[in-house]
Amino acid sequence: MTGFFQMLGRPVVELIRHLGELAQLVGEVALSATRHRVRWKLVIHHLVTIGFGSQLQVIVTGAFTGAVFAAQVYYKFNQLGFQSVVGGIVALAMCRELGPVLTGLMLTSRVGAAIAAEIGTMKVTEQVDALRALGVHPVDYLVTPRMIAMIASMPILIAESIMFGMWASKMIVVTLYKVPEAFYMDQLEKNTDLTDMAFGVTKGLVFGILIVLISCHQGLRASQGAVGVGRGTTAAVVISSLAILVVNFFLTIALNFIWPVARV
Amino acid sequence: MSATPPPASPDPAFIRVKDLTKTIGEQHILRGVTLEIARGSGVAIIGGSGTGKSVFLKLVMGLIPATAGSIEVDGVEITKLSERNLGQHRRKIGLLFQDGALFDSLTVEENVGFPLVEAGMRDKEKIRQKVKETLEAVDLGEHLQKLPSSLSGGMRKRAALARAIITNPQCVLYDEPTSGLDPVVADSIDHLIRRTQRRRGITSVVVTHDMKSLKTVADQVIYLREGLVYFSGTPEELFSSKDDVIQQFVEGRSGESS
Repeated sequence: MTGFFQMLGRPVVELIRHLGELAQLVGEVALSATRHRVRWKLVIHHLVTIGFGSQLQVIVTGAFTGAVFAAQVYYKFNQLGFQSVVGGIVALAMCRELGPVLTGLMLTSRVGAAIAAEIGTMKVTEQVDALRALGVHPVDYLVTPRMIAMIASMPILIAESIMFGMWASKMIVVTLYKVPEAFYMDQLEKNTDLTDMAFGVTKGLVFGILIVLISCHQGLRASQGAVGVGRGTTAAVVISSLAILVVNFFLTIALNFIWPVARV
Repeated sequence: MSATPPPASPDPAFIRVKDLTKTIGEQHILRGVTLEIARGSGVAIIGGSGTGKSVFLKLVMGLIPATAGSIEVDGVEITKLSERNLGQHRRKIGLLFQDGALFDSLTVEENVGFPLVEAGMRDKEKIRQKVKETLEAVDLGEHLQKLPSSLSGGMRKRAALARAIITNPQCVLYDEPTSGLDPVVADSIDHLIRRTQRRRGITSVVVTHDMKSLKTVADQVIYLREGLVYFSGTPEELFSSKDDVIQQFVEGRSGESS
């Protein structure tokens, strides 16, 4: 019986410990960004790797998601004679859900994995200890610049993903399926406005913060050599992806109070 | 009119450790180590594998927390300091890691100049000059633009040593500086450590298994055994000791060969 409770309790204790460490890291990053010297050179370096380096992935993800979603919605709505509303539906879905969530997931695999692997390798090869030995706080050097770069990059990346999704949707519906552009645009304007974009960008910002926090945390707690780095990298991707999906639900509920869907 | 009091003479001990205990999981690494390391001296810490030599260095540097006991470095008790406050303390000490721990993504020049940049030096020309001088002092003046991955083991240790001493710390801790090196390179590293200590008046604490090294780098030897100080004395006293345990360790005899 004790064994059963131990088996049940261990993951709970582990989860609480994990959340506690993450909360501590949030505090450290806030302290580091506000009270200590920010290394702007590193911020620029990470802006290039996170922001500029993710362009292709974000654009392809956004464009093809928009195109596929537009095609699927068109097939069904065409049967009902509502093909002109496809633009509005795709735009709404891209802004509020698909843009931020898919971009977040793509960045988890590209940026999150890279962060966890790089910091994890530094940890197991004593480079993180070397930083500390030189009087440099690892959060100041490894986490804060990445966090600032992610916060600066994420709104642009989300906006790009949404814009390319909407552009691809228009290409499919107007150019391929010959829905009149005027009808398409009319429905698009009626169903969406800038608050939908703000909705998506806000979500993306939260996802970006989650990716950096979780990935840096996994990197900093890596141990036991290459196996530990691999384990930490996998955990960073899995935990970040799950966190994005779970937090997305709560954000959707909360943000709908602030920016409700436009009434037609 | 009262005369200005003369400045207090510094504590002769740079490192003072009392009843230091370190437990990791179920394993008792250090079981109450008490010792003093004099300012400007060269001290070698020897002992079998797993006796807590490297752990001792990390404790003195504040990289890992002590389970119990006190560690005083340059008159400051460090066991109660937070990670941020330890930063100030760590700048007084250089640490040479066993594998160098150079930053992969930075060149040798950037690695060695890193402590200067972090200390707030902004003049790129001054940093470059100081890095060059320090690298020349460790016979590595021509490898500024190389990445650590393209250096040999000995070169990496020299570069790491340059990084450890560039800010003129009061003390340098060396974690097995000659392990994995051929005898010639090992000997040159030993002489470099001794030269650095004598020229700059730096306190050196060298963790080593190498008995030849010990003769070159140390004025005092501390032998750790089963988490305690088993012997403390000069290298001559160590080598002339009649204690069977010490003789066995110094001569590198396993129990089976006797």
